[in-house]
Amino acid sequence: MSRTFGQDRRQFIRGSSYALALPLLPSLPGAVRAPASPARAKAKRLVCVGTQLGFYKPEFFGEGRTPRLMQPLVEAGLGEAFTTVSGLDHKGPSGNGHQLVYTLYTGHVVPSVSLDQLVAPVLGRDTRYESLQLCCGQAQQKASLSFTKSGVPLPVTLRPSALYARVFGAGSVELQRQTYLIESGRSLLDDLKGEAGLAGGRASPDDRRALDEYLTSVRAVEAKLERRRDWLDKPFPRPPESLRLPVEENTDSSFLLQNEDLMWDLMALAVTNDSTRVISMTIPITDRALLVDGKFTREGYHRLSHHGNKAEKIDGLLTIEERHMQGAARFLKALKDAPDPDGGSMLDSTVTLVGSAMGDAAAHRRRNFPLLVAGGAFRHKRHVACGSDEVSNTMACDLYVTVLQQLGFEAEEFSTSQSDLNSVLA
Amino acid sequence: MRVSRLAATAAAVVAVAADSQASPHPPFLREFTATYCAGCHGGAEPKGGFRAGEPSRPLADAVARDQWMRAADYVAKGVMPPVGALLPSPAERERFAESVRDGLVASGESARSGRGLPRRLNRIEYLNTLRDLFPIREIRLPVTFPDDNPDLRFDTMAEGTHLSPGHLDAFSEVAIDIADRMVPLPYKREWKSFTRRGTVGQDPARTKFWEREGDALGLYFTGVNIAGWSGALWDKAFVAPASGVYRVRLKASAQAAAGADGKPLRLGFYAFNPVDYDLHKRALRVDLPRVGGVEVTSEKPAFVDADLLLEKGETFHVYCENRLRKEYPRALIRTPGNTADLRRLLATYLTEARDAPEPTIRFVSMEVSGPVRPLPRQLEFLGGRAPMLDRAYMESILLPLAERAFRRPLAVGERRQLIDGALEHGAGAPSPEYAVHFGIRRILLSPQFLYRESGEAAQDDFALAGRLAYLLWSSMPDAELTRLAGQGQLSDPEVLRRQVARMVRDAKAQQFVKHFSGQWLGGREAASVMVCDVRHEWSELIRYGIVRSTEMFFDEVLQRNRSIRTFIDSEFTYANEPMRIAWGIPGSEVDLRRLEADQRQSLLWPEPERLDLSSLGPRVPRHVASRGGALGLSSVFAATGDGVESSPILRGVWVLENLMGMPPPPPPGDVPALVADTSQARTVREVLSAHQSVEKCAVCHAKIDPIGLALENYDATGGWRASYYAGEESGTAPMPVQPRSEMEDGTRLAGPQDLKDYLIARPQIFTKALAGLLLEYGTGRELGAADSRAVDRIAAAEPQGGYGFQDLIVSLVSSAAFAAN
Repeated sequence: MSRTFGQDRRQFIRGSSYALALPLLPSLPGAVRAPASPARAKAKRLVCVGTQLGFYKPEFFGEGRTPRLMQPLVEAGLGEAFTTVSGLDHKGPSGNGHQLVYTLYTGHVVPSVSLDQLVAPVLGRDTRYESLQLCCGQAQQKASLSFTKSGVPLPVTLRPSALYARVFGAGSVELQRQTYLIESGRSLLDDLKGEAGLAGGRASPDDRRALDEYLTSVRAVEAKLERRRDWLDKPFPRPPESLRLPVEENTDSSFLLQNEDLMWDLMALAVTNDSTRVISMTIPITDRALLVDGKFTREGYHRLSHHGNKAEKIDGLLTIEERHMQGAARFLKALKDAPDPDGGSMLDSTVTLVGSAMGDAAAHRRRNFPLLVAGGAFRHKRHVACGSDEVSNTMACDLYVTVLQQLGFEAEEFSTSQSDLNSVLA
Repeated sequence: MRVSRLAATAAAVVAVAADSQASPHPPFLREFTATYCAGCHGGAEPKGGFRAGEPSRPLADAVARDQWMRAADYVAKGVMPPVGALLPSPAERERFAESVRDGLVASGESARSGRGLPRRLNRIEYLNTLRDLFPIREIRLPVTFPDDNPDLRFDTMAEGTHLSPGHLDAFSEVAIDIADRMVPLPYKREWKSFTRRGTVGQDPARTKFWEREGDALGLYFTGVNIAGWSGALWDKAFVAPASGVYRVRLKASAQAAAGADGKPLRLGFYAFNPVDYDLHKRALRVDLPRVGGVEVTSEKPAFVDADLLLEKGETFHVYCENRLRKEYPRALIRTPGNTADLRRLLATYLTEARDAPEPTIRFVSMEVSGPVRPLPRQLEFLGGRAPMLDRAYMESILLPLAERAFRRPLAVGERRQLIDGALEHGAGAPSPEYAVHFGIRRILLSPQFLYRESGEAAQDDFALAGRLAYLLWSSMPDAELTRLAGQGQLSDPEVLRRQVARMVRDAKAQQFVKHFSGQWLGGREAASVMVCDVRHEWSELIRYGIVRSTEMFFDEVLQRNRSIRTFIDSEFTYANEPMRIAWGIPGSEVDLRRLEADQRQSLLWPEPERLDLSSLGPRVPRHVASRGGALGLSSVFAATGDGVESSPILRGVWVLENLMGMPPPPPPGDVPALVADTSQARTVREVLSAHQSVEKCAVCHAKIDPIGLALENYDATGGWRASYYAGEESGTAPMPVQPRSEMEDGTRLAGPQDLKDYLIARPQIFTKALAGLLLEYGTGRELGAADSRAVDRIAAAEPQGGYGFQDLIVSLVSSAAFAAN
């Protein structure tokens, strides 16, 4: 509820705590349809990455030169493979950016579906995981960027080792137990479904709503168990020899960058070995000082973000943000080096978004937030300005509409979109 | 964002006081609105999109219904008609509100209060209920457990507690985990480990916390903890794969015949869960359960065994318990009034410990294996005998559990289905344990467990017991409440009064303190708001103090049954030492950074102390005296800022909602998103007045802004300021804060005290607001017309001087509105 003034009334009202007539359980935006035929899709994977603390924009967008934060991408030979789009906004409450960073891929503060979860049921139909939600170690604030259709945040995997286990298997020792738990779980749910169905006949309307909700959830979990069972005896891909996890894992947020490095690398493996086609990842905020190259930063990450335009602090902040972008560069390079079975590289068949719904962390301001789109067979042009700090009238969701179309969805709108950015990118 | 009462309401056609048969009041209503309202709320463009001129018009949608609810509220509370217009008498106001609400009740969907959507146990309630149900040492939810919707008024609201597949999936994981811990399945889940040599009990001053391996950090030896032990950790090598008894075989030698207490050197084993991955805490923890111990007497390496009772997922520390001659000096713990130089004392202690070699235990090897047998509590749960696949046995184990889990007696059908299911499953399984395991999972996934007070008998005494328990404990009813419900005594007001008194005294009532006050008075927001520490004198110790002092203030009003007007203004408040430093209270010469160092050493957070505001010393800054009541609590201000700057608007809205029960209305549908031109404004006041110059903004901002402006002396963390932050390098003089404003009714405010005086002079406003909030929290519904009537009745019966807080709770839980679904 902590937001500042200086917002128009509508935005304020939406963001604060009052009654407002909005659909409670928004269904899929009516204008989004699943791809009619996969052939029409220009890309088939979506990776959505978001930091909770934004990026230092003068070095994220930059004019007429390669900004410092884009340097890692250029050095990795990805200069033609990305576009940063400035001037984007969600136009929601413009107050405390911190509390609203989770809206990066939903566009709304009200419970609503995130971009990745909108496409996951279609794109992720045939992979071991329909989608994965990651966060680079422990988070001080709510970590998930992924929200279900009913607006429920999806839990995140915090530990690189847990992601490793999901991608490469945790060993076969538990196979018998897993099989038992899945099978017994299904018969259990079946029993409960029957019982609840019987009770439904004599329930009040309100109770019936709960029963419906319950039965819907039971059926969804049954489907999930079935998928787990189907994949249970299929062998996991083998991890590459070069991949080594640290002897002792530490998800404490002081080690954010170390965990983040592992997450980027594991994510690249999960994409290239087709464990999943939809991923969201949070790079969390922390008050802690971070370990960079064996030394702790002189001030905490969050404190550095309140740089007050002091060169020394900005440099400290950029040192950290560079590491985020180096991870992104390694990830994208790995995709570029991986041929897609359908032709081209995996970089081209994967839309990657990296950004933050925090426009200016120094002032907790949300307007004109940083966003980068990479790969995905777009017409890239390094940088496109759709606005500035003063004028940010282009909705970030316009970009998401274009992304949806690239992924083969018949989409005309998504969340707060007003149009699309096809003219810029597609 | 609170989900609207409009949103979920079915668009039933409701006629408010519509036809003369349904309501005895329409002529009065028609007359009233024609006289007092129609001037503005009539014509082609009624103000606020609300047409009051035709109360007989059927209210076709939820929006109109909401408008009428609000109209009743505003007229009753004197907000409408506005100053300058023709004003009704207090009696007319009351009658208007009553008739509108009666009309709504009579013509609404039913005569019941609000809407009683079934509620899933929220995250907190679910965890607390599991902890009360099962005698497992520590139940925690997996890190992947989904959060509840954070954007509602309270996390108990039905709208926020939908069940989703994600939740059911998580419930299912937890159910498996609990069943595993209660009934070990005969899987081969064993562990054998072997660790290298080392010494248990290093000199604390030389303790190595970190062992560096690139960026990967490992922790091998703990430092001195607060009780003076030091020891080693084995979590890297060992995590119990299942709950059970584990055997540790240690080859070790004692370096002295006796420890500090003259007895043989003794190792103690202390369990913890390595998921608590806080290195610092782990090294110093004192509150770990002791799960086994062994004496080491041999001077030559020899084998000794110890049996440890471990829960799944746990590992253990091992400490030499009687090694040190000295206890960790208690003087090193910062307590109120202890102003010794703690840092120097600690340094002395560590030097002494280092210079005086202490006896230690050296070990050559350590081996852990198991589980070698089930835990005693597991055997007890299974009735002390091997499980059998027969109906009587299954009933004896599962039915008592199900009755407690469902918080009511089971219907015949429910019993049969549960036992049949377990037996059927057991028949196809390798052993009878599977049937019990399956039964537990089924209970924990049943709607009767996951949903609160739903079903056919949602309004009986058992439902009341549940509601009461979840209100005051955020957990299931205990045996006494269940017994009273079973005897049909719980609806007796005298019994209820005694139960409330008992429940409030119980330690579990701290859940109410924490969660209700945390959501009402900003504690939850304050606990997580990211603070810009360039602008504010800030420390995590202040954050801790801010959150705890609000809880302690609330707890005092609750425990002592103080008048609820204490929440408006009081002669006391709470603050911890770091807060007192920030407030400029003399008497403490320590600085914040030193206190932080002490906290890191002792792991104790500086607890707030009671501050008597009526007898402050002469050197105490004047603003401290106005810290009484909710409008002096830092958590309220931290929650309504963004960690950088205060927001008069959010503060105004906060006061309207939380102290006055008048949340500003939703925007009329035809107002486009407006951006007032505030580019020339230099001060907060100017920005706000620019907003007020647009009439559609001013409708609400005339109510909101004056309140917020009167509170501007509080910064975004609840600290006091005389002027605004001017920036570090800016050469301009800081702008002074001017907390002067004029409320819509003409009342002039010049700071928080005036606002408190305003509320104290109109006590019913706050009584209704608080009763309404409690009703909302307790029932989980947006309040309907019948609820407002119930709140009015409770407020009308308020004794002189105000309700005691417990008395208000008793009145509330005795009301039909609280029991209604």
